[in-house]
Amino acid sequence: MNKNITVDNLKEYSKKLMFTMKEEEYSTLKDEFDILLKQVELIDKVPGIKDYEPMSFPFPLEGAYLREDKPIDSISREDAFSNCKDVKDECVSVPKVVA
Amino acid sequence: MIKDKSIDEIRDILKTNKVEDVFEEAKVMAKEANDEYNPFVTIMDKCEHINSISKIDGVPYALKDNFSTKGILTTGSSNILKDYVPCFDSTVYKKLKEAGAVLVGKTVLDELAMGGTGLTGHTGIVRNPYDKSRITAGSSAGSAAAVALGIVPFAIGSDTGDSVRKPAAYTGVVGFKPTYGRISRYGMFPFASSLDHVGIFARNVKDIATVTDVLKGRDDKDMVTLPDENINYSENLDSSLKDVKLFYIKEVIESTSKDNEVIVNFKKLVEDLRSKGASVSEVSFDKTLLEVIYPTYFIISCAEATSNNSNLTGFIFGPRSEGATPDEVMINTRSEGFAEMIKRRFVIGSYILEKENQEKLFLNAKRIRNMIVIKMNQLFKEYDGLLLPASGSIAPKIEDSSKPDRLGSEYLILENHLAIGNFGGYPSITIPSGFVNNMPIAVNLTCAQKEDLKTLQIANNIEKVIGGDK
Amino acid sequence: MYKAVIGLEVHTELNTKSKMFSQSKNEYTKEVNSNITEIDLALPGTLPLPNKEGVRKALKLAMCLNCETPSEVMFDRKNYYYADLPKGYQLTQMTKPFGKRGYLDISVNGVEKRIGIHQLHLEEDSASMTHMSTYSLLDYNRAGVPLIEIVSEPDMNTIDEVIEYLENLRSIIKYADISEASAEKGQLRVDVNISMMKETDTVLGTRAEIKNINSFNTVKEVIAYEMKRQEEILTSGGKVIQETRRWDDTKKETVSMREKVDAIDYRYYVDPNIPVVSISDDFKEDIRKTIPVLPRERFNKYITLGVSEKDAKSIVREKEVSDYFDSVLSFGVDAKEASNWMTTRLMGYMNQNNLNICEISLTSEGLASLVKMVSEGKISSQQGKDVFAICLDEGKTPEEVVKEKGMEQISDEEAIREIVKEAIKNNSAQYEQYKAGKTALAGFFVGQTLKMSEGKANPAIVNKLVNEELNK
Repeated sequence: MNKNITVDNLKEYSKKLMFTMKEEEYSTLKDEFDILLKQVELIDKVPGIKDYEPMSFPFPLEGAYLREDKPIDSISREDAFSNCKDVKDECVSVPKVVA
Repeated sequence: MIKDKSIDEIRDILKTNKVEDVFEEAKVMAKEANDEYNPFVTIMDKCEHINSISKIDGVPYALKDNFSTKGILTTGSSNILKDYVPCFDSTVYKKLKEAGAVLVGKTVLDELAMGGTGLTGHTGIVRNPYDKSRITAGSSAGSAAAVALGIVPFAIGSDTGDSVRKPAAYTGVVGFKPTYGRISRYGMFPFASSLDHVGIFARNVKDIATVTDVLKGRDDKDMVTLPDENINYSENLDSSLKDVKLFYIKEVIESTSKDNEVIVNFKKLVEDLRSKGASVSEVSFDKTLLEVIYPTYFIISCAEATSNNSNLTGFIFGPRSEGATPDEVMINTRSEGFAEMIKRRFVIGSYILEKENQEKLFLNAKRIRNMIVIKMNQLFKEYDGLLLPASGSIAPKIEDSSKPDRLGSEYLILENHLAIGNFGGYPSITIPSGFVNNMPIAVNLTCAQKEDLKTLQIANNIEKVIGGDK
Repeated sequence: MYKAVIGLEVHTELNTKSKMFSQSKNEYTKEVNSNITEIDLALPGTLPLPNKEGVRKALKLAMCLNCETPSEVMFDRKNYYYADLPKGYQLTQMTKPFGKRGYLDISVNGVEKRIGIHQLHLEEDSASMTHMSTYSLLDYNRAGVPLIEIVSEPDMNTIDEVIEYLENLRSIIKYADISEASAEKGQLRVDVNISMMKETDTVLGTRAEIKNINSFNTVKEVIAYEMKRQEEILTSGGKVIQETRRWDDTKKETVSMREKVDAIDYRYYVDPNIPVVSISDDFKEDIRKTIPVLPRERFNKYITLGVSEKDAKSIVREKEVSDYFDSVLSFGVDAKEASNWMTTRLMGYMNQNNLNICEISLTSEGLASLVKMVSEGKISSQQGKDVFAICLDEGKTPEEVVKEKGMEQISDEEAIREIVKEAIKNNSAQYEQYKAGKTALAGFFVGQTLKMSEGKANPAIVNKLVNEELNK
């Protein structure tokens, strides 16, 4: 894991998340990273951590079951696109996607 | 006439007053309150009511603005959804509607529920009803304030790390987070799916139980909901404190000065409970584990939040910025729509999920979660509940709230233990326990998974003891 | 000398009634945005609801491909941003895919080869896009449709092996009722991963990935082109770039796409909204029971019964055709004869009239008795053809037609001898010529005899008796 995170790294990460941040925010973010990484050091110090499985759910859900294969009616296009800013030919329109 | 009233009291009022009139009064109060305290994003114009035989028929309430309401603006207190009107109802809203409850308004939250102060909503900060210069805590800031101001007898929030239980403590109301999966999250904007819970604010424990009864139950639209139990909580609250075995964590109490008035209040309550027949033991809990609760919570929630908000691009819903390519549209929409703090969370979350970092950051945090839950489960085999001060202080001043020492032991342990309730999905309730410098303080009770009734029963008793019911 | 090393990723759309994580209809339709719900659009607060039938079909296919299967259902998020991906992540499987370490046996030019299946997993499809001049239109009908992805090991080295693998795979998919697997409907898509290496190399070469190929013919073109392209680069001392390419059908070449394959980190992690659901051994057993006898096994059986490889291959291509053939065999006919009838006559008829086997009015029992009638000599093979045609057109049974037309072949030697004698008597001129040495005229008498018997006389017997009588 790279412990020396630079502002350029942070700009890369935000680009991958499809947004940009204000210039001055990157240094705030860098500080937050530094704090986080120090807190992570505390985690590393906890003995026996490797003996435990990572937990993805708070507890196993007994009796969890899968849905039956029964279709329901579609929602109307009006409802579906009631918030869409650009609808053409009954579809959501976006600037051309170049392959 | 309805200000500060409980559900039962309002039901009484409704015997001789129309639902619409009760609503109008709440609406007026809401508008006035908004000028000073800003709890609401949207205040309903009309009274929408369906007759029902439930215990909350005709009762006004407030709903956090991250619950989908068909035809009603739902913003998540974020600019990226500032004009979003859902075409479907969240299950919570649907159930409340069918039970005859009347929506007064959608309340302010920290943007996308990712905050703990109540200061980051896109329509402005929420102020503490007891002292305008202080925060309410968050993220369910507006819902807490709406109940604390007496506008509505109950309000709905969400709790991912402490977002119902801490604002409840700072605003002097009861705040309950039931067991994970007890109430359906369908239609509630997700923050961190494995930690998110629907939560309830009210003036007393009985009202909490009444509302929980309406909301709980298996929902086929949310796979993690628990099967129906067929127990009515509000009708089964009576129980004795005798033989109830509680414990508190030594290291939490000792992380601050024993002269801290919150601790003094807590210890007195412990004595009072003992005098009522409960046993309250001091138990030691691994300090190294306690100190990593906050980073564990932070890591898991940032990581999950990042992908939960990847659908916010402006293509199908929400404001859409200009752009020559779809990528540009996405980038501009997201850059303009998210506040800077949210973006920082996402960058951290994304970093945590990078292939080369997952093992050390994400998976280790999930291991810590497991360790803590295993330890707590063991303790819950011996004890009925964990009792602790909900916070080590009264509500901070607004200008101090972003400056806690995030590496200090006191902050880490005393201000973040509530996240244990989210790690294990434990039912957990905050009960107001007194005042310090005229500001509310509270205790928090957490019990074993699925023991929601027990939690409410014990809480009901604690509430009586605090209220001087000797 | 370079050899190609090829691995394939095949995506197939399942034929469930509803989508994989929402209850929208899973139905091919030309009406855009008509099979959608709020979950498909990823509206805030929506949650996934995994489809049990999708899980069943995935496990079924995994079993057909000899894979190890897990004891729990688990889905992961594959995170990336693209216009056709509403959630900003795709629900797929990384941690516990439904199939691992399986194989598919193929045979090319009589040589058997085992192609390893690295992994089989279940995921959801993205929305479809139509590209106009300055904008693109998104149709969410396809968003959320269940897909199974089958990832092979890079065990294939020739185009023939690739096509054989794909055809076998498609056959199995259809046999097991997983998918209609129609290329025109876009229900089967292939990604090709190809690199070149010298026979003497121990390390694999750098590979290129060519994505989203919709037809097997295009797969052939793509591989041929890539083999040539990569070999040219390598022999001139260059390096093949690891990248994603696409096939340009007009220019008939692969074209590099801008992004680099290995630059994307999808940040996979277990989806927290789908709790772990157990897969019991009983559940798996119930699925296993629904697996029909698969094409390869049937093919081998037919070969041992004497059917030619070409015919066997034809017959097993569609399960319904093979089932029909099995039924014909159950009435005790010779497999080789029956297969001739199937492939040349029956399937020829089906193709000409664009019918499938369920629409044929000749039952398997009917075909069996027709085959027997001809092989036992009750009717001639020419008559058999005629009866066949009438059965198909008029829906009658062969017995009915033969009876109606009085077509019972005459096999009684004495009866035929009388006709032969009659034919000789009536054609004394040709008889004299035959006796004078024109022995080819025997055929004339055979013809005459058949004519006089209205085609009913058994030709073999006629032949024999004509020769007997002429040589008396």
